[in-house]
Amino acid sequence: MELLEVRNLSKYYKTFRLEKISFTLPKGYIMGYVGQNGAGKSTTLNLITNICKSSGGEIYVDGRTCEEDEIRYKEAIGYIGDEFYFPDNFRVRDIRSVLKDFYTTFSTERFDELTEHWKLDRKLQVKDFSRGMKVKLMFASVLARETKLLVLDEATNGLDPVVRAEVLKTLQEYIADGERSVIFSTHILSDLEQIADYIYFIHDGRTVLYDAKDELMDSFLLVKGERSALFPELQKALIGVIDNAYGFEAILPSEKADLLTREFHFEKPTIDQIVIHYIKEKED
Amino acid sequence: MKALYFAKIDYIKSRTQLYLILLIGIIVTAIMQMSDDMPGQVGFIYGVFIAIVFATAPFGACTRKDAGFQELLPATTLQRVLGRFLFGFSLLLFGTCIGLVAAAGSYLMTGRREMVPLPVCLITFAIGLVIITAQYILFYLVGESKGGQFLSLVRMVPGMCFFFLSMKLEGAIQEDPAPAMAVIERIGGNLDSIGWISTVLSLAIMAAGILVCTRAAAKKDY
Repeated sequence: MELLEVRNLSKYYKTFRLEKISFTLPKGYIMGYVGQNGAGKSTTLNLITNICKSSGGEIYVDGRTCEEDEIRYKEAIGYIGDEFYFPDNFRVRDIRSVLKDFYTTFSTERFDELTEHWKLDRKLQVKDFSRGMKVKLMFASVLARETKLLVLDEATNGLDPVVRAEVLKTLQEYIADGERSVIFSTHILSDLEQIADYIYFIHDGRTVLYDAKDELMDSFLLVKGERSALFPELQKALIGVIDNAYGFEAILPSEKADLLTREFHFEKPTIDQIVIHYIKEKED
Repeated sequence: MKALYFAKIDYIKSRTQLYLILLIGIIVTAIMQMSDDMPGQVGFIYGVFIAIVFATAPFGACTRKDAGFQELLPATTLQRVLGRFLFGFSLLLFGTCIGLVAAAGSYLMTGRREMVPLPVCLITFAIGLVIITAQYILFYLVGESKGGQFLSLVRMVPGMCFFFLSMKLEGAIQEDPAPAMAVIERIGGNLDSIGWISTVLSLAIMAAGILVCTRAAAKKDY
């Protein structure tokens, strides 16, 4: 059962176009949404949360579009952004009070439990919170109610490793019941390797790669070797050749592994390496 | 109900400004007690002026991110816009009440001046409501967090114009009441009716403004 379904999603700005993005995310899974700055990650996530309005296409969350039932659509989504979105002069108690007004499933007990656990000062205005405290507060506000889909837009940026590890653990716990899903954009691709089940790679507003993480990693080889050893057929098959002090490095679709001769070393690439070489290929 | 909750968010966002309104109210009342020649209407004009200026405060607190926060809440665009208008309307009522309290206090304690006549209250309130509606329409059309300079003008200029024109009119009537009396005579003494009609008209303008703002907000990206 798909929890999130995006069909031909487009958004046109004067200087940027997001073109026909399509993917599905089943219940109980985490999708890593990756790409460079300005690739269209935040635009896609803002369209999913309906902070921005699309120029075309459809988004279904738990089987319904925002146009069909805006209130239930938004109740199903929990959003944590790279920017802290609560007004600066709010205190923890104000946020608690506002969320209680708006969400029927909001549990003040759970919210208090989380804010106490994370030692979030209730008297302080949120503008005085550290980045880590702000992220925890956004998590508390989302985890204290019943959501189906968690949308994270570079939420782990600027967090120290301890808090980041805690966030990743929280995400895994969130999907543990198999009924909820997470879509997660980040530049820290090692985070995705730990927790993501699917990877969607976007570049310049267009889809580059979209697959289950393990299959994606299995479908490429990281190839290293001497430039002089390259022959035309292999060179044509390689993606994003980068020269370095020891020769070259590139990725190669696994089905073309038989092109590799003894002169070349190969290994399983990381998500980071796949992304870097694809971006290099696109730039060339 | 959700519109009320949005108005509540605006009140929390504008907390500091609300304390300021109370403070200004106290100062105006004190000045009125001390001054012999200040007409009762002045306190009332002050109250409405303050409401006009501060009614746009929630827009001022809207950076792109916290405008987005309200957009994330499960509610319709109409409820969001209605909440903002409720905030403006209630603030105007609040400002009006402060003005009336100042005038009434002065009337009861000094006995030197008349209470503010009802039609004056109604017409001033109606003008305030129309100004606030116009400001909100401009804010929603231009964008809450865009066009900083222009929006500062939208925030300050209508209130200032209202204040100075009202004070000038008040002064002119004090100096020579004859033209004002002639106008009242021409309308057959139906000043009360005109007061009520302007109030109803201003409410209708506000309702139309809500619809315009809802349409504008529904198309907007945050």
